[in-house]
Amino acid sequence: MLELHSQYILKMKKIKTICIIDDDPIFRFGTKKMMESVQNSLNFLVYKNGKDAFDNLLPKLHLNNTLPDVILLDLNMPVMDGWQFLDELVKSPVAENIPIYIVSSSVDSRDIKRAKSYKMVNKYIVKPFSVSKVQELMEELENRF
Amino acid sequence: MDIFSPLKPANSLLTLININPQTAQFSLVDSTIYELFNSELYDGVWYCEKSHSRHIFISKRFNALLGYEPNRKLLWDAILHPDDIHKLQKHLSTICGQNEIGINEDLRLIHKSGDILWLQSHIYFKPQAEQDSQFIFIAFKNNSKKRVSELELIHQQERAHEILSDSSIGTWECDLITGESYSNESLATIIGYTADEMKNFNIDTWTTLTHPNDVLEANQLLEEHFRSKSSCFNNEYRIKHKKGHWVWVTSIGKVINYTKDHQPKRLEGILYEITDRKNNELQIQKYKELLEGVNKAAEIGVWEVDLETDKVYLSAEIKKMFGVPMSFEPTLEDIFDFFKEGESRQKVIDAVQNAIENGKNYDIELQSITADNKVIWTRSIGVSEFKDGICTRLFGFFQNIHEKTIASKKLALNEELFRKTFAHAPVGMAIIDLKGNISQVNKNLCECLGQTEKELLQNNFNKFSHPDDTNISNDLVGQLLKGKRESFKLDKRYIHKNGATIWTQLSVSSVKNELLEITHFVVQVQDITERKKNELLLVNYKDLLERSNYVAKIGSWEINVGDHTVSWSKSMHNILNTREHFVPNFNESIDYFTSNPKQKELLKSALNKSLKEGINFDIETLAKTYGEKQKWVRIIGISEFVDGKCIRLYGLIQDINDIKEAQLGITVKEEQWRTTLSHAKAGMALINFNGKADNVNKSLCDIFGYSMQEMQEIGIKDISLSEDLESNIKLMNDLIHGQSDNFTDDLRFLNKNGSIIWANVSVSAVKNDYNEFTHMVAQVVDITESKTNQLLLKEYKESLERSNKVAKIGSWKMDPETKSLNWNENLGRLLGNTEFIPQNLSEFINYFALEKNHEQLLILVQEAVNNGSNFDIEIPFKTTKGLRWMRLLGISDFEDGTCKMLHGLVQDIDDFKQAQLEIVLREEEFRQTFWHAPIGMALLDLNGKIIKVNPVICETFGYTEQEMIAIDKHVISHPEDTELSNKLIAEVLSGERESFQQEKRYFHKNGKLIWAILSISAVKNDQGETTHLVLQVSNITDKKLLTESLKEHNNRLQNYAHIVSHNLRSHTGNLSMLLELTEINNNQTYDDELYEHIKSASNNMNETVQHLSEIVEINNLIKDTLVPQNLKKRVNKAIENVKSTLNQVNGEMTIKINEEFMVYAVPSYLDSIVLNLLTNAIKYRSHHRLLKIEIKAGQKDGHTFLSISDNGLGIDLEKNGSKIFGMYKTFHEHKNARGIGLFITKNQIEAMGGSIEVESQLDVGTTFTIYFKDEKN
Repeated sequence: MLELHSQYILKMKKIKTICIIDDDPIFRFGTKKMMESVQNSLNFLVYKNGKDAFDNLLPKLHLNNTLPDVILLDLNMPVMDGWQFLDELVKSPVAENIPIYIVSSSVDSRDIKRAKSYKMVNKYIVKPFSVSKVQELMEELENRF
Repeated sequence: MDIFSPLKPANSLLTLININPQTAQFSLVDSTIYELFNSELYDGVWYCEKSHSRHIFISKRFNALLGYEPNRKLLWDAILHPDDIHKLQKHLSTICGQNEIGINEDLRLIHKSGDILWLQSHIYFKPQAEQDSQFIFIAFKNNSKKRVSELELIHQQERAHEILSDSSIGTWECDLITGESYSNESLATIIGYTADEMKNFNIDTWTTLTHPNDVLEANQLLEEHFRSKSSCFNNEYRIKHKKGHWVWVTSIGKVINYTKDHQPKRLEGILYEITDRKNNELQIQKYKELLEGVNKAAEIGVWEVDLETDKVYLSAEIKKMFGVPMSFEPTLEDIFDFFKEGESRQKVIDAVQNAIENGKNYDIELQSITADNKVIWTRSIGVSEFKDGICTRLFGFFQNIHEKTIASKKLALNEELFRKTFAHAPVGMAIIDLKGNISQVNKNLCECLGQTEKELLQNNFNKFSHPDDTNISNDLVGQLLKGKRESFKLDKRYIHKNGATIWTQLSVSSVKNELLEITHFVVQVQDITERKKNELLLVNYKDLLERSNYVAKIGSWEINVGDHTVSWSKSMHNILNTREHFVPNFNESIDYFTSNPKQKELLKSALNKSLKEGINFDIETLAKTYGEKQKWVRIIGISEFVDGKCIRLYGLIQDINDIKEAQLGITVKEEQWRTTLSHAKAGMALINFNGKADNVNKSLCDIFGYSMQEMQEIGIKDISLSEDLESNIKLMNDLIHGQSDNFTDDLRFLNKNGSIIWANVSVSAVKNDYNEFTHMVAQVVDITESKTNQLLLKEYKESLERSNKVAKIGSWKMDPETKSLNWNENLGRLLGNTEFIPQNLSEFINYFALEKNHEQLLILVQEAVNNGSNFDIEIPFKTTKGLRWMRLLGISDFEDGTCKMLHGLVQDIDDFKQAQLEIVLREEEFRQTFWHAPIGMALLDLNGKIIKVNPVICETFGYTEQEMIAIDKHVISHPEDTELSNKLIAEVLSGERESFQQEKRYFHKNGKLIWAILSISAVKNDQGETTHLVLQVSNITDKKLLTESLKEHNNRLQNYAHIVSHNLRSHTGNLSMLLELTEINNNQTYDDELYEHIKSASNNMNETVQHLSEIVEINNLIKDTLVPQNLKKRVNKAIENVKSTLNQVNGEMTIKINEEFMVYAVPSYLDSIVLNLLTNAIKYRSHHRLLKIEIKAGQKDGHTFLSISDNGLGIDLEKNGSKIFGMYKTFHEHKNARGIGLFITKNQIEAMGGSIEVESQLDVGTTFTIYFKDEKN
C-alpha cells in the first residue's frame, strides 16, 4: 500500500497544508489523525468557525504566499457559518485557486444544490469522514495539478 | 344486276364492278369521260354501256367517298338506300328513247360506317346511232351537309308551326298602309270568333274591339315603338270577346317592314290570353285593401314581397308603426333596416332566406327601430308562396306588441264615460281651452245660446257673454290657472242669438293632464233666466223708475188724457237720442215713435183704441231718433180705465234694435243656408207635406240622375225600389206626424237609369214656432261605392281567415240580444278544439275560462253591451294544449245607445306572456337570492359604482347599507390588490372575460384585515350588452388564517426534522470516525468484545439516522422535479441489479410493459422502488416452489400503473394490512428484514404524486401495484 502511494507521490504535487474550518473539536481531531495516517508531515490551519477563519486566515492569505492546498469547510457553525464565510471569500481574489471541500453532516438536498452554485466549491462530502474518504480526497487533490 | 330493268327486284347478288378505267375497254368512251373519271370535279362517277348494262365502271373516288378500298366490288344493296333503289331504277328505265336526257336526282347512299350520304346525282344519257355505243353516265356530288341542314330547318319550321297551332298563342299580321289584317285560328279562339269570321277584320275592327280605357295606352305604346324602333312592343289590354265580356291579353309585336320613306308598313306579332292572371292581380289588390282594413283593428300590418318583380308592399299600418311616410317605397334591404342591428336583423335575414329557399314560414319576435329611433318590439310573421318549386311571393304580418298599458285602457274607458255624460247632460256643457276657445259643446248649450254647434265651435266663449258681465269671471279664471282653486261657480249673463239676455249659473272646472298641467276647462252652463227674471221682477216691481234704470234701454212715457200733453222719462231721451229737456207734444211724440206713415197710422189707431176702449197695445216700430237715425223700438201702451173712461195712458219704450237686427241676421243666415244647399256636396232637399221636393241641389240630382226640374216633380215612389216603398213612406209619415224628429239610415234607391244606388239618408223634420210640421230637410250621400266594398269585404273574408290562422288570431262575434256566439274555425283551432262550438257566451266562458276569471269576463261583456265600451285583456284559456294565455279583444258596435253586435278577436300570446311571466319569476328569484344569500353581494353599474348591496356584504365590511353604497372602494380594498382587480374588471367590461375570481384583502370598518374571494360577473341583456355587474364577496379570513398557521407549523416541523437528523448525524459520524481511528491506532483492541458492541451500536445508530434523513429528504422533494421517464427502460435497469440473485434462486421473471409508456417520476426513486419490490419478492420467496415474478404495466382510470406480482410467502393482510407500509414493520423472520423498505417505497411514491396498493394471500403470493402521477396533472 505504501509502495503504491510512493508511486503516485513521485508523479504528483505534494500536499502540504490543509485548512480545516469546523466547530466540532472531535471532527477536527479525527480528521487530522486520519489525514496524517494517510500522509505524513502535513501542516494544518485549523479554525473553529467562519469568523475565526475570516479573521485569521484571510490576512494570512494576503500576507504570505503559503496558501493552503485545500480548505475543508463545515456549514453549520456558530458565529459565522459556512455560507457566510463562502460569501466573504468570493470577494477575495487571492483565494481564487484554493479548492474548497464542504464537509457537512447535512444531507439536505437544498444544501447540496446551494453548495454547487459556488464556483470555488469542489465537492460536497457527507460526514462522517472515514479513512477511505480521506484517501480519495487526497488522491483527487494531487491529481488536480 | 340489270340496273335498267325496273321490275326486277334488287337481290343480294347484284354487283358493281370496279375496274381501273385505264385497263378497261373504253371502246366508245371519248377522252372527256375518261378525264371525268379522274377529275375532282365530281365525288364519284359511274359509267356503263347500255349493251353491257351489267358492267358498270365506277371511279375510285366513289369508293373513297363511301369509305371502301379503291378496287373493292360494291353491292347495290349495300350502298344504295333501300328507298332510293327504286327511284334510280325508275329513272334508268325511262332512258330508252332516242333523246338525250339529263336527270338530276338526290340519292341517298350508305357509307361503309352506316352513315347516310346525300348525293346529288346527275344522270346523263346520250343516244348514239349505234345501239352498242349508247352509254349512261352518272356523276355524283356529295351534298350531305347542305341537305342535312335543310332538313333540320324544315323540321324546325314544322315544329314551330305545330307549337303555335297547338298552343293558345295567337299570331297576327297587319298592313298599316292598307289596314288589312291577318290572324291565326288560336287568336280567333281567344276572342271567340272563327277564323272565317276574322277574315274581314281590319285594323279599325281591332281598335273597336279594344277596351276604351286601353286604347290610348295601346296607341302610345305603338307610337313609341315606331319612334324608337325598339325591338318589339309589349302591351297588356282588354279585347271584347264575341260574347261581350272582356278578355285580358298580352300582345307582343314589331314592325317587320318599312315603306320606302321609312314609314312602318307591316306589323307582325303574337297574342295570348292573360285574363286569369289579370284577374288574380286585381283580386290580390282587393285582398290587400281588405286585410289592411281589418288588421287595423288588431294593430297588425301586412307586408308583401313579390320576388319576381322585387316589389315590396307595406300596409299603411306598418308605415305608421315605423313612422315612415306613406309614400315610402322600400326595397327588401330597406325592410331589414327596420330591425335593430345585430341579432334582430340577422334573425330576420336568416328567416327570410329560409322562407325563400325552403318554404319555411316564420313567426318571430324582434326589436325594430322606428323612424324616430325608438326601439319597439314587433312580431314578424312571414309566409312564403311557392310556385313550381320556386318561391314567388313572401307575405306576412307585422304587429306592434309593445305592451299596452292598463292606464291607456282605463283612460279610454273614462273618456267614453265622460263623452256620454257630456253629450247627455241636462245642462249646457262646453270644453274650452285656456284662452276660452270652444272645442266641444253639447246639445243643451247650443239650445241655451240659440247657436248651432258649428257657430259655437268657431268662437270664443266670451263672445257670448253679456257685455256687462264679460269680465266678472276673469279673476276666478286667473285663480284656476294659478291652481289656487279647481273650480268656481257664479251667475253670469249671456246673450242668446235672438238678442235676449240669458241668466246662467256658470260652473267652470279645470282639467289637468298627468303632469298636473291645466289643459282645458269644462264649463257647465245652467239656464236660470226664468228664475233670475223672477228675482229681478221682484226687486224691481216696486219702482218703475228703478226698473227702467236697471234695464237701461227702457224708457217710460205718459200721456195726459185731459190735454194730450206728454211726459218722457230720462231714458226716453237716451233711446231716442233727444235732448234731455226736450218735451214733445202729442203729435211730435208720434212722429218720433214712427218713421213711416203706415206705422204712424198703426200707432195712432192703437193709441185711440187705448184711449177710447182701454185696450193695451204692444207694437214694434221703427222709431226716428234725433239726427234721423232709425231704430227699432217696442212700444207698450197701458191705459188706466176707470168707470169706462181712460184716465191715464202710459207706457214703455224698449230699445229692441239689437234684437231686431239679430232677427234680420237670421234671415241673412237663411239666405246663406240656401246657398249652401245649392252648392253642398251632399245631396240636399227640402221636402213638403206631399213628399215632393220644394228645393233640391245639384248634388242630389246627380245622385239620382234626374234634372233639377224632374227632381222636383218626382215623388218618393219614383226613386224607391218597389220592395222598399212601403217602409220609405212610413219613415216619411213618421216625420210628418211628429212620431220622430229625424232619422238617419243607409237606404237603397233607384237611379233614373235603373241602377241601384246606396245612400246615407238623413232626414229631419222642420217645425215652426207652433211645433207644426212645415217641411223636411233631407241630406243624401251616395255611398254606393263603399256599400259595394262592403260586399267585397265579405268575399275576401276567407283569405283573411287564412292570414289570421298564420297570425294565430281567431275572431268571434256575439249578438247581445240572443247572446248567441258565432266564431270562426280558426278560433277553434287556436283553442285546440274544433269540435266543440259553444252556442252562447256562458257556455264559452264556462268551458274555456278559469273559474276565477268568469266574473271579470262577464262584467267586461256586460259593459261592452251596455255602454259600448271596448275591451282588450290578456287572459288564460283552457285549451287542449293546456292553459294558454290569449289576448281577448272586444269591440262593441254601439249605436244609439244599444250594442248591435259585439265582435272581437282572440290572439294566442302564450309564448309572449310566458316569457313575461318568466322574467317576473327570474326577477323575484334574483331578489330572493340577493337578499338571503349567505355571501356578500352587490350590484355595480358599468362605472363600478355600487347600486345595491345585500345585508351580508354590509355585515362583512361593518358598514350600513347607505355607507356601503356611498363607499369609495379604495377605502376598503388593500392597496396591493387593487391594481389586479381593476385590470380584471376592465377585462370583464370589455367582454374579454365573462367573470373572474380573485383572492383579495379588504379592510373592515374597524380596520381589521379581511381575506375574501371576490367574484365579479357581467350581467348581459338579450342583446349581449353588459348592463351591470354582480359582485360577490365570500369572507375567507378564518380559513386563510388557518392555512397560514398550518403552513408555519409544517415548516417548523420540517426544520425540526432537519435539525434532528443533522445533529444526530454529526454525533454518530464522530463516533464512527473515532472508532475507525481507534482501529487504525490499536490493532489489538478490535477483538475486544466490548469494542465490538460499541462498534455495532454505532453502526445501528448510523443506519437509523440514515433512514431518518432519507424520509426527511423525501418529504422535501418538490413535485416539479418530476421528469417523463420511459417505464420499460427504467424497470429493465432496476432488474439488472437483481438478475444475479434471481439466477441463484432459479427464479423466473416475465415483463409485460408497453414500450411507449411514459411516466412522470424521479429516476432514482423509480429505480429504488422497483429494486426494493423485486428484492422483497426474492427475499420473501416460498421455499416450496420456484419463484415466479410477473411485472406488468397498464392504464386504469387515466393513470399508468406498474404491478409486480410474486408467488411468495404472502402477507396476512387481515392481520397486518394497516401497518404493511409502516416504519419498522416486518412480517417474516428474515435476517435482512429491517421494516423500512416498504415505508420508504410508499413515501417515495407519494412524494412523486402517486400511490401504492397491495393484494396478498398467505402462501400464495403478493402483488404490489404502483400508480403514477398523471402526466397531464
